[in-house]
Amino acid sequence: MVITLAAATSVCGTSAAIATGAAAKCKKDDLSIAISISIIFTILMMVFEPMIIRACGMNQLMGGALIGGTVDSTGAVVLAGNALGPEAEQAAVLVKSIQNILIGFIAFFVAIFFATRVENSGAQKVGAGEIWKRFPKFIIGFFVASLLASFLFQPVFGGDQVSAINKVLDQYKNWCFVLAFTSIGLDTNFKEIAKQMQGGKVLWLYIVGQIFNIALTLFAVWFLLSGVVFKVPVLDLFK
Amino acid sequence: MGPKGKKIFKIATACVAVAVLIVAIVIMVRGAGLSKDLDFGAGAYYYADIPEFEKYVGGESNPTSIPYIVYVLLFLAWGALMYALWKWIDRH
Repeated sequence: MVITLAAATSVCGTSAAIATGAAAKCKKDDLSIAISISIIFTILMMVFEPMIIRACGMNQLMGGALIGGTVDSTGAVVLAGNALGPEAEQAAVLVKSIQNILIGFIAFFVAIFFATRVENSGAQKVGAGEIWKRFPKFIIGFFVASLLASFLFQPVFGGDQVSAINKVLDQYKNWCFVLAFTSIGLDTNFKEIAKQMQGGKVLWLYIVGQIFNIALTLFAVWFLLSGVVFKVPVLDLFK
Repeated sequence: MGPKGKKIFKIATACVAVAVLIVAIVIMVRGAGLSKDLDFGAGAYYYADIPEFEKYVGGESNPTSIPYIVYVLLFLAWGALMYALWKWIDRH
């Protein structure tokens, strides 16, 4: 439960929770709780975080990076960044995309950690087969698609063609996403979830974790993008 | 935590959970935070596409003075350091 919630908070919400949940062999109800809490708080943060950032007078670059590093799901990051302005949206998407790359690495290391340390006293040697069994295979598809898009489709066919391919794939992707959520819902048992909530400790775990995440990201944003330590980068993606 | 503390914790948890749920539902019903320019359909609050994502993966985007491989190595080194820190925390 802890590692699933931690991954949802620090990487990219639902996808990270599913990936690490599989790698750690977590209970299905733990996964449902982690996803539900992450989605509900994402809605709140998506609306209120841009308001707070604007009220604090933070510039678009720093505000966008803060949103990208703290709002859980990618869609909400795009919308929250967009609410602040185009530069904020770009910064938010860049930070979130870098976080999204982490899914594969985190799932891999969580699989190793749980196989070798949590569910093994150390007496038994854990083979590569066990790591492979735990590793969520959709990460491989994600990684291969990223490589193909970056180094083959984009240079060979150009941006317009990639965009056209994505538009066609979007329909299938949306249906798959709906089916995935429906399946998670069919596997969800509210009685078990109530037991797993441990009197609300899980809720506070998320809140405390997210506050820590915001504080750490705020420091990183100040350190890297305020211009105090390093030169402020110029984002020129949409020039 | 004593019985009084436990009671306060339970009440605080229930209040936070109910407040969060109500605010989230109100936001979704009113469509707050959504953008007319970015119509993501029914899944807007939990999943959406990145507009013009192809520009982010284009090789000409975000030029840097240092080769990209340096960033990749830094990224991997940071990951290795965090994994070592995680194992250390677990041991202690």
